[in-house]
Amino acid sequence: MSDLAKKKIEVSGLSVSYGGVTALDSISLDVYEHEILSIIGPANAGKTTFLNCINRMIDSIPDARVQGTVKIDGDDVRQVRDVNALRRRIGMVFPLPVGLPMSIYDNVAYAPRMAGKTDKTRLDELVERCLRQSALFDEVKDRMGDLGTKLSGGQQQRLTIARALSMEPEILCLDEFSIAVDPVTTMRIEEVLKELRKEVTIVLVTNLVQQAKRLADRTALFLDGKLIELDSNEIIFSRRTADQRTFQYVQGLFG
Amino acid sequence: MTDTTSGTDEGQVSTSRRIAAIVEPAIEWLIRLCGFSAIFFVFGIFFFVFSSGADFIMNRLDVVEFMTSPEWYPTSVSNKRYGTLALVAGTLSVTTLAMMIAVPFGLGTAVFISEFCDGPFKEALKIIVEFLAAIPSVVWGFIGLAIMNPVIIDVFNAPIGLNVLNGGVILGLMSVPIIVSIGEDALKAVPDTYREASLALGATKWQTVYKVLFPAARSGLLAAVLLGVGRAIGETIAVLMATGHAVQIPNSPLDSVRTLTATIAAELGETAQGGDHYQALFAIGVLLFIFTFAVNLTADLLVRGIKNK
Repeated sequence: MSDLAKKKIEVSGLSVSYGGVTALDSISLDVYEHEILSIIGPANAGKTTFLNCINRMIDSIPDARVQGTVKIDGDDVRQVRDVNALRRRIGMVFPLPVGLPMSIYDNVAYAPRMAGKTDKTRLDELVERCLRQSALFDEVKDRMGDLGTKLSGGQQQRLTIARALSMEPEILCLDEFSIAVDPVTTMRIEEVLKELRKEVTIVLVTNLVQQAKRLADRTALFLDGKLIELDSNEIIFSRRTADQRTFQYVQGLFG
Repeated sequence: MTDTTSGTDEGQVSTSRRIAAIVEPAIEWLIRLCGFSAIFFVFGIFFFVFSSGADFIMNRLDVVEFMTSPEWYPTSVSNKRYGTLALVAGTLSVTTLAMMIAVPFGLGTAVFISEFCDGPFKEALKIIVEFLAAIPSVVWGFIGLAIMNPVIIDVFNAPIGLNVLNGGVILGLMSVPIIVSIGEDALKAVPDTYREASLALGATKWQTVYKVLFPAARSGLLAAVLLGVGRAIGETIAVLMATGHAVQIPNSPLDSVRTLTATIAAELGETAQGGDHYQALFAIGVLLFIFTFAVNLTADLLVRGIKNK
C-alpha cells in the first residue's frame, strides 16, 4: 500500500505482559485506512491481546501491564477519557458468537440505544441495514423478536457482526470469526467484509492462512508475541518473504 | 487400544464391565431413592401437620371465620374465636417490608460483589456476608428487642418499638445474605463473553449490568428473591421477639402485630395436646404450608415462563 494512504492505527513499541509473562513484545505497525490487515500466527502469539489493546478491553484484565502506544487517527487510545466512546468507534467480533440474551432486533439496537439513540424509525433503518450488511436480514426478517441466543452458530456470528456495525464504527476488529461458522457462511461473511472495506478499516485475526490470503491487503505474522514480518500479501504469500519463518508458516511447514 | 490386544486384556475388560453392570444400576437406584425421599418427606410432613389438626379442621372449624375474621381468641372461655386474618396481615406486612429492604440491598450487594470489586476485598466481603447468614435467628430477635426497640421509640416517637417496622428491618437483614449469595452465584454463572461483548460495544459497566446481566441471570435472581421471601415468611423467633405480639391488623408500620409462625411458637406449648386450640394451631401450619407452596410454585412457573420465552 502506498505511503500516501492515511494511517488509521499507529502502534509503536507495544508490549503487554500478564503477571510477568510476556504476551506482546514491542510491536510496531501501522494500519492504513480502508485496508484489511490480517494477523496470522499460532496460538499464544499475542493476536487477541493485540486486538484488546486497540479498544482497551485490556483494561478489564486485572494483571495486564501495557507499555508503548496505540494511536487511532493520531490520538493515543490510553489517553482517551471516555473509553466507551472509543469502543463505539471500534467494532469487535469475537471467536465464538455471542448472542446477547435479548431479541435479534435488540441485539443490533443495543449499542446505539446505550449511546442514547432511541428514535424508533432510525433504529429500524439501522437494524435492517446492519443485518443486510452482515447477510443475515433475509433469514431473520420475520422473527426479529426471537431471542438472539436461539439462532444457529453461524447466524449468531453474523448477528454479532451486525451488532459490531451498529455503531457505524471506523474500525472493525475480527478475532478468528470463522471458528464456529460453516464454510458457506464463512464465504458469505468474507464477501461482506470485502464490501465493508470501502467504509471501514479492518483488522482480521485469523487462524486460516488461506483466509488471510483471500481477504487481506497486507498480512502480519505474529510469533511468541513478536511481529515477525508484515508486508503486502504478494510478498507474504510468495517465496520472497523476508523471514524464512513466514514462508514456513504460510506453507504449513512450521514447527 | 491397539490391535495387538492380548487375551488377558480382554479378560480384564470384561471383568470390569461385569462389575459395572452390577454397580451402575445399584448407584442409579440409590440416586433414585434419594430423589423419591424428598417427595416422601414433603408429603410426610404435610400429612402429619394436616392429620394433627384434621379432626378440628374437618368437623368444627368455620373456614369462613378462619380466613376472614381478625379475632383470634383461642383461650376465651365464653367466646372462642379462630380467625387468622390479623395473623395473616401480620405475616404479610412484616414480609412485605422485609422484602422492600432486602431485595434492593441484597441484589445491590450481589451486583457489587460480582461485578464491581475484585481481589481480596471481594473475598472478604463474601465471607462477611456469609457470616451474616450464620447469625442465629434468636440473636437477630435480641437485636430487635434490645437495640431497634429504643431506636424506633426515639426516632419515630412511637409508644413501643416492637412493631412491623422493627420486625421488617430485622427480617430484611436476615434475608439479605440469602439473596446476596444466591444472586451472586446467578450473576457469576453468566458467561464472561456477554460482559466482553457488551463492553466492547461501548456500553458502560452499569448498562451491562441492567441490560445484559440482569436478563441473563433473571431466573437465578428471581430464585434468590423468592428464597428470601420464603425465609421471611417462615422465620419465627426473631419476629416473635421484634413485632410486639399483638393480634391486630396493622394500620401503620409502627403498629405491633403477630405473625402466623410466632403464634404457633408461642402458643403450642401452652395448649392441651389434641384439644381444639392445639389443632387450630396445626390448621395455621397448613395455612403456612399453602403460603410457602404458593410462593415456590409461583417462582417455578415464573422461571419456566422466562426460560420458554
